[in-house]
Parts: sequence; structure tokens; C-alpha cells
Amino acid sequence: MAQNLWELRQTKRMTVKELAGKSGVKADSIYAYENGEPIKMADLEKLAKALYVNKNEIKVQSDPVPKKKPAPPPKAATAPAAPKPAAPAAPQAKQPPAAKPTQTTSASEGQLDYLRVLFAKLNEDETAVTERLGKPLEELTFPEARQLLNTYHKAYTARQAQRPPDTRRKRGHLPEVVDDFEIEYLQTQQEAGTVITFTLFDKTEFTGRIIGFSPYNITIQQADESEVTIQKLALAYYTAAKAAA
Amino acid sequence: MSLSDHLRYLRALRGGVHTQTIRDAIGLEAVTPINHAETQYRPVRDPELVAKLAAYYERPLTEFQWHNARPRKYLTFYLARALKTKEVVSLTLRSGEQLAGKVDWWDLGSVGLWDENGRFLVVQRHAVVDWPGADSEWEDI
Repeated sequence: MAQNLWELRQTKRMTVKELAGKSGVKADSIYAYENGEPIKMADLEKLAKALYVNKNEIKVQSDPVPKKKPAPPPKAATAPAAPKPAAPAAPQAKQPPAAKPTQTTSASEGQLDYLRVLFAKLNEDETAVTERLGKPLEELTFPEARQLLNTYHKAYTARQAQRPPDTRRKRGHLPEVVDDFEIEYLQTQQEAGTVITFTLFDKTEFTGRIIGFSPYNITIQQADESEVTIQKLALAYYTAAKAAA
Repeated sequence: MSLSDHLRYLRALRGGVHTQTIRDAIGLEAVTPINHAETQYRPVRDPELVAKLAAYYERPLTEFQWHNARPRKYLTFYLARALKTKEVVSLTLRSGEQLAGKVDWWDLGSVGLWDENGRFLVVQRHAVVDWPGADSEWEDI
């Protein structure tokens, strides 16, 4: 069953920063995804790979992260908040994370974390923001926090777009570090039992079915059932053999 | 082929001599510059080190300089551009063989190509010695 991105990340004991480093997906995007923004397909694949799960094990749209601590009671001096239930309800069972946010749900920890990240990037003083809001960030409701996130995220995106091209952060032709196309290809060919011809630097050829591989070598079984391990350092290229054995 | 790959190849030809042995032979204090020269993705910026290594392996300095002008990053640029523009790449291997095809994917160690006969080839990047515009058409990425 699919799980929220933040749940999977926490299960793997990873911070957002670590997941960003491992997956190649920006930390900002991960924060946004964990706060309910639908995950782009390209990022979903990278995140799944970094978390060692299948794509379909991650919810494309995560539910909000439940708050660990209850929100502090509203101060007497503050303006009246949204109407609350007249009588205190019986002790509530712990809400499952999948619960949909309602008007009165408090801002999630993830939202607040991401807001603070944006404040830092925009050199925004949190005290000044809370003064404008009339309450601390922890007292924001989920929709209020979402609204604020939208505003600051747009401001950040607009600022990034205004930077002269030569000062924009360049993303190289990566992710070399996260793409393992050859491993996927070898895995597929091994499972299919494809007969492959391997050509070495000195043009020596070996033909057989892959029975195992590592980043440094490939072991094949030849037609006479003998096994050969080819060191990749000596390998020039390989291709499916013309006629299947 | 980058100088890094060339150095690893030459060391393999010498039976995988330890880099500490090379350090002692060329009079370096540390082994780190040799390890870096073998693993880095950009050109080796220390001409003195390049000259010392060429002398150690008894190869012409110009050969090392030629490889140093074709680092792994430049091949990455060529492959990434070809993947985007769908242009046919032409790769010259150390064996002298020339392979051409359209890039299907590339990663850290290899490139997947479709050649004109419809064959799918997986070419090891360390086997590629040259490609068109190798030392002139690139962007530091």
C-alpha cells in the first residue's frame, strides 16, 4: 500500500537533506511534496530509488505531516479565532496521518520547517512575519500555512528568475550519480537470458548469458557451460548476439 | 579517453602496480595527487605531475597531454548534447574501432547506443579515446 513520502523518509531514518542528496531531488521540492504538492513522475522515480522502494509504494500526493505537539491555547489578547466546538470532545483517538486537513487543523511541522527555509532564503525575519500575522507560526492553521507557503514560494521563484543567467545555480549534466542505466540493462538481459557478445580492448570476444555482475565485472556462462568473469576495465563494448543460442 | 582512464589502463598493464610505488618512483611526498589524477573528471591541472607520470610510464608527454585534453566531463557533455539533439555520435575506441549510433542513455560508466543496423550497443566510457570536437566543443559542466 502506498505511503506518504514523509512516512517513508522517516522510516528510513533520513532527513530531507539526506534524501535530497541521495536522490538528486531538491530539498525544496521534497518539502513541497511532503506538504501535499503532487510529486512529478521524474522525481518520483528518483525518490523511490533513493528510498529503496517501488514507485507505487509512494503516494503521489502526501497527506500532511501530523503535528507532534498540540497547538498552544490561544492567548486571551488575540482576536477571537474560528468558532470551536461548544463542549470539549471526549479524548480524541490519535488521528491517522491520512486524515484530510480541515479548516481548524493546525499547520504541520513540515509546513513550518519549509516556511523557515523560505524565510532564510529570502532573508525574511521570522519575528517581523509573526508580528504582521499577529500570532506565532505554531498557531497558524493548515490552510493559513499553505497560503503563506504559496506566497513565499512564489516570491522565491520570482527572485530566482530575476537573477542574471551567469549567477543562477547550474545543474550539470547529472545525475550521473543516481542513474544506473547499465545496471538496469544488465539486470533485464540477465532475467531474459539474452545471449550477449562482449568485446574486449584487444578485440577478443566472449559470448554467453549473464549469470551475475557487479560494478566492476560481469560473469557469463558460455555455450559450453563454462563460466567467464570479464573485468569491466578490459571491456570495450557488448551487444546482443546476432543469433540466439 | 581521459588522462584518468589512461593512467588506470597503463597501471593495469603494469600488473596493477600500487600507487605508493609510483609515488616513491617519481619522488612525491603523498600518494593523493596520483589517486586524484586517476579518478577526477576534469583535466589534471598540474603539468609537472603529468610530466612525471608520463616519464614513469615511459610514454611521450604529448600523449598524456592529448588524453588530458579529453576528460570525462567533456565526453559527458558530448553524450548529453547528443541525447538531447538526437544527433548520431561517433566514438573511437582504444582498439581503433569506430562505433556510431544514437544515444539511448548514458551514465557514469557506459553509454547505450542504437547503431544504424538496429543493434543496441553498450559502450564502456573508459574505452572511448576520441570523439568529434573532443578537445574544442565542450562546456565546463
